[in-house]
Parts: sequence; C-alpha cells; structure tokens
Amino acid sequence: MRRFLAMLLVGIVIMTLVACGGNNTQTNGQPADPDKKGQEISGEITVFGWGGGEELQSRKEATKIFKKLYPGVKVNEIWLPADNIDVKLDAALAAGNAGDVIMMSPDWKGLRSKWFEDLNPYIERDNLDLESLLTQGVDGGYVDSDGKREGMPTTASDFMIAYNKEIFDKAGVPYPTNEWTWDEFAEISKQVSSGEGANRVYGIVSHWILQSLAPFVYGGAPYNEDWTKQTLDDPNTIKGYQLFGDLVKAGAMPDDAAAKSMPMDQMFAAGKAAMYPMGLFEASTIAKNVGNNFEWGIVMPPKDPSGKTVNIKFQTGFAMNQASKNKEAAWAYIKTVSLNKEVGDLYSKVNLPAAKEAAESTFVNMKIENTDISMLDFVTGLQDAITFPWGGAISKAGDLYAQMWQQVTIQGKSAEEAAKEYASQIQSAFDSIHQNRK
Amino acid sequence: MDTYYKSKRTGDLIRYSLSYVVLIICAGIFIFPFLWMLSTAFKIPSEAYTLPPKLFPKTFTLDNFIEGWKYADFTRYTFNTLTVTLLATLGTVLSASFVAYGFARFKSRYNNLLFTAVLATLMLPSQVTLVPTYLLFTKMGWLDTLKPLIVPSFFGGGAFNIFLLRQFFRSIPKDLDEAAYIDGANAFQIYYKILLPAIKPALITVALMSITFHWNDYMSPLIYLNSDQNFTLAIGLQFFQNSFGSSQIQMLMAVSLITVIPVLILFFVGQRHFVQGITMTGIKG
Repeated sequence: MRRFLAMLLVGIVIMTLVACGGNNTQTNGQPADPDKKGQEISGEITVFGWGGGEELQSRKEATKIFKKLYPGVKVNEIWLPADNIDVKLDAALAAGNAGDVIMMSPDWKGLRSKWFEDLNPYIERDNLDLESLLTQGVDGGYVDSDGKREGMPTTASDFMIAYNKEIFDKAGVPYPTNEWTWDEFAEISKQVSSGEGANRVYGIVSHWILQSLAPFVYGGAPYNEDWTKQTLDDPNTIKGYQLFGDLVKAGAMPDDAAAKSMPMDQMFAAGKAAMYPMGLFEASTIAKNVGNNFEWGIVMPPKDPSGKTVNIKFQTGFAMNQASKNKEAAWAYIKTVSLNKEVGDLYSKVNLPAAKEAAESTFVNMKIENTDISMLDFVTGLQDAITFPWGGAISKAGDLYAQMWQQVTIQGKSAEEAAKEYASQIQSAFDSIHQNRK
Repeated sequence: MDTYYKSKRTGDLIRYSLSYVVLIICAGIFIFPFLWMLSTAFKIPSEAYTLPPKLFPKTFTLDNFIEGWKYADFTRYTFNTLTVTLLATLGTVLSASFVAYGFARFKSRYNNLLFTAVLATLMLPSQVTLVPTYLLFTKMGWLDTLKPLIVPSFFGGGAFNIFLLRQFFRSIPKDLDEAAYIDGANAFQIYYKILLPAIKPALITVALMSITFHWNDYMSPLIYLNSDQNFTLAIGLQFFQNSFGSSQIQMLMAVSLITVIPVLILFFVGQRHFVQGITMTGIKG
C-alpha cells in the first residue's frame, strides 16, 4: 500500500510538472494562452524604428496586434525618417534612451552588437524552433560569429528581374527563364536595346542594386567571409563588374547622363528600358507606374557559373537594448512582430514576412496589380540570396567601392584598372574597421 | 575725339552685353531647378518625367498640393517650424548682437583669447558635440520638445553671427558712444538705442541666415524630436521622400514649393539689407 501511494505521489508530481511545462511552451510568437500569459507581462516599453510609407504603416499596425495580445504592456513608439538615423541612434544609445526594442538590419554586421541583448537564452527558454517557424533565408546574419543572436527578423526583400514583354516581342527575343546565366543576360540586354538619342530603349536600367550584384555574377565576392580581406581584385570579381562596364559601352545600359535624365523606375514604366531589377519593396509602385502601358513579367536573376542564382536580400528585424528595464515585454514584442501569423499577414502586403506560416499562405497568394506575377518566386529567391554586402560597419569600404564602380560604368575605365586604383584603399578601410573593433 | 568716344561707347556696349549674356546664362542655370520644381508641382504624374523635360505642363493640376498636404500633418509641422524659426531667430539676433557688442566695445585682458575661443567653435564638427549636447538635453528633460531647437539660440547665437556683428560694431565710430555717454546713456542704452539701429543691415542679414537655417534644418529635429506632434517640415518632407522615393515627385515638389515660399518671400523682402550687410562686412571689416 505504501509503495502504491509512493508511486501515485510520484505520478501526480510528474503530471503536475508536465502540465506546468506545457503552459510555458509558446509557439508562433503568441502566448500559449493569450488571455493569461499576455496579462502576466506588463509595464512600459519604447520601440524605436524608422522608414516610411506602407511599410511603416504595417509596423504601426503590428504594434496594435501586440497590444491586443499583451494588454498590460504600454508601448511608446518612435518612428523617424531613415535618413541619418544612425546619428540619432548612436546618440540615443550612448545616452541610454534609445528604447527597449530597436530596429536593426543584419547588413550592419554587428555594428551595434555591444548595445544589444543576446536573444539566444530567450529562444531556448521558450522552446522556439526557428527553423520551422521562420521563412527560409530570412534569418541570415542575425547571429554574430561568436554565436550571439543580436536580433530577430521581421521582413525581408529580394530582387527579381522584371521585363517588358512587348520590347522582347518586338526584338524577337524569347523571354528569359529562371535558368539563364549572366552571359545570356548581357547578350539579351544588347539584343533588346534599340533606337538613338532621346528615343533610345535600353536593355536594363541603371539600378543601384547592380553594383552590389556585380562582384558575385561570375562566382566572385567583394571580400572574404570575415571581411578582413577585400577580394575586388580577384579575376572572377573583376569579370563581374566589367560586364556592366561593357553594357554601358554597348549602350545596353544608360550612361551617366541618360541615367540622370529620368528615374530608373519611370524609365522602365515608360517603356524606355526592357528590364528592371525589381526589389520586392518596390513591386507595387512599379506595378502602379506601369499600369496598363504594357504586359510584363518577372524572372529570377541569372545564375553564376556554379548554377547558383545571384540575388541580394535586404532584411529588417528588431533587437533588444541591453539597457532595457523591461526585457520580458521587449522580448514579447520582438517575438510577436517576428513570428506571429497575424503580423506576418499584415507584413505580406508590403514585404516578405519572417513568419513562415504567413509567408507560405498569405504572402504567396498576394497579387501584384495588372500582372500574373507569382510571389512564390520571391520566397524561392530569398533562400540563396546574399545579405546586402555594404551596410553598417563596412559602409565606408562600400563608399570606396561605389567610386570604383563609377570608374568602370561612368568613366569607362577597365575593371582591372579600377581595381588596381581602389583595391588597396578598400583594404585599408577594412583594416581600420577591424582595428577600431579591437 | 568723336571717333574716340564712339569706339569707347561701342566697346562698353560689347563689354556690358557680354557681361549680361554670361549673367543671364548663369542665372538660368541656377534658377532651372527652381523652375522645374515650380512646373512639376502643377503637372500630372505622367507628365512629371518627360524627355526632354518640359517647363510648362500640358495639363495643369492642383491635386498635388491637396494630396501631398493631406499625406501627413503638414499644418502642424508648419506651425512647429514657424515656432522654432521665429523664436530661434529672435534669440540669435538678440544674443549674437549682445555678445558682439561686448567684444567690439569693451576692453579686457582676455578679450582676444575669448574671441579666439568663440571662433574656434566654428572648427568643431557637429558630430563631436552631438552626444554631449544630447546627454545634456536628456538630463534636462527637454528631449522630444522644441526647447533644444530654440533655447540654445539665446546663448550666443553662433560664432559666425558674433563675428559678423562684431565687425559691424567696429565699423561705427566710437564718437557716437562717447556722445551718448556724455548725454547720460549707460552701456546698455548705447547698445540698444545708438548701435543696434546703426547696424540694421547686419541684423537683417543675421536674421535671414538664421531663418533659412532653422526653416530647413533636418538634423537637429531628427536628433531631439521623437513624436509626430512635434515634428517640423524638414522631417515631414523626409518621411514623404522615404515613402514615395521618386515615384510621386510631383507631390513632393508641390509640398516642397509650399514650404519654400515663406523663406523666399522673406529673402526678397530683406534682399537689399542682406546684400548690404554682406558687402559692408567685407569692406569695412
């Protein structure tokens, strides 16, 4: 009898523990029992972010969803324009009033990591399996080389090549497919170009993303993995940006004067360029501008010689300020805007959501007005896309690379000459970043 | 003799004509962006970008002004900008003239040293002082208020303005001060009743420069303000640009035009004094 009672007691204890453990498990960024768990967290937090337009509106709406889930938390929001926000953020972080939750991008490459809380312990505590909760490719770059997670993703954007079907038809060139290579891209760009002077139709617009894509198109890279060494003078990298210099020389891409005569999106919308490297963030604007002017489609960016599609992604997420006085509420906010399905559905209207459930249901079914474009391509494109290479910590090296790019695409220098002139300067820029970080 | 005058007249005529041609070309180059802004503000979207650019819209519309203004609370932003600009300008003119008067008229052992120290602040990049001033205003509880944009103007008014006004004060004969002193005026009365009216062109110059700076200032409001209700026009315009990029350029131009009009009017009203103020400083410094 005593043995039976002992076993019964052990059984009850185990059941109680399991039941308690079950209550703590949360999924998809929502409290397991929203009414209960949401009320447990209280206090005040400040969210600090930037941007504009519909994207900013969706972030404000996301806060409303958080407030609904966590009614005990008062959220103060600071939303500012993006220009020069770094200056404000640095001052606010130094003064300790930057807010509890701060917008961040992984392309900053750990620029403000010392100010941010490691989010790993929170993820482990809440048993979050990020691989199954996050859209593939959206999470890259948030974990530093030392394993510290400095942020959680909310949205991402990658690029497709939009093309004007009428220009292709007129030139008798078949539409590109997802399997095309950069050599084919260059050839097609030349084939679909036509006309002279003000009536010139270019193959591709002079989009700012091309300079970031260029080093990768023949399998090269602008720098090594831990960005200690520039590799812009590597033969494959040189070949990459030479391709675009040649396109300008051939009149398939606008030269400086032509590029400045009209914004690139208007150039595509007005039928003066056959192709446009279109970021997801600008897709609806492009669609609005094109209207019923012509039929158009999108295709993945071309593949490098190894067969990998070359794409660039921009990611936005949120980090937690180490100085936050309400870390539980801050974490709840970050988790909600990253993983919650309802928030993901909201983001789907303007960007690719981090919440996999939302990306695979709501986002892929979104439609771009007047087109039969499949949003699934953007989801697929994100998987292998490279995080924007010139953000935050290495933006100064990026400024030098921009000058080097101009030497090739504006001044008409060969990529090799430009690399000779700039490689050592860019290396010095990398060296000084690493010296400053020591 | 007649031939001499005739050829001189012809020479002058050619010289003047050439000068005017060069000036007209330069004026055209400088005014083109403004004219483009003016015309784009009245264009429909499809006409905003045409090659070559057309100065006169085919279809004239006021929608850009209405839609653009509705996009954000520009009325509030205008009110905030007016408050900051007027008060900061008042502070700048009053305090810079007061400090400059001190440097110009009072002798002390450290006069030159102090004046050099004031001028040295011109060399300090704003990034150096940003964090300390941000910390100071945070501690004072002034963050997200208009105070950091206004109050500092009442403490010196800026090294360049002090320099400009000091040069002006020095160009006025001291006999005036002495005459007033004999008549029983004290130092403040000499400053207020004798010297300030005498340097009116310089004061207007300082006021115009201050108005233009504060009206267009983007960085300071960005650093010190957090909430929409306190934002200024420069922040509002930047939000607008962040939202639409170049895709709604006609609306951006319309809103920009409205915001630039007050500064333009002020400039034209005070133009004569402004030019006089600048040239006199150069000549008599």
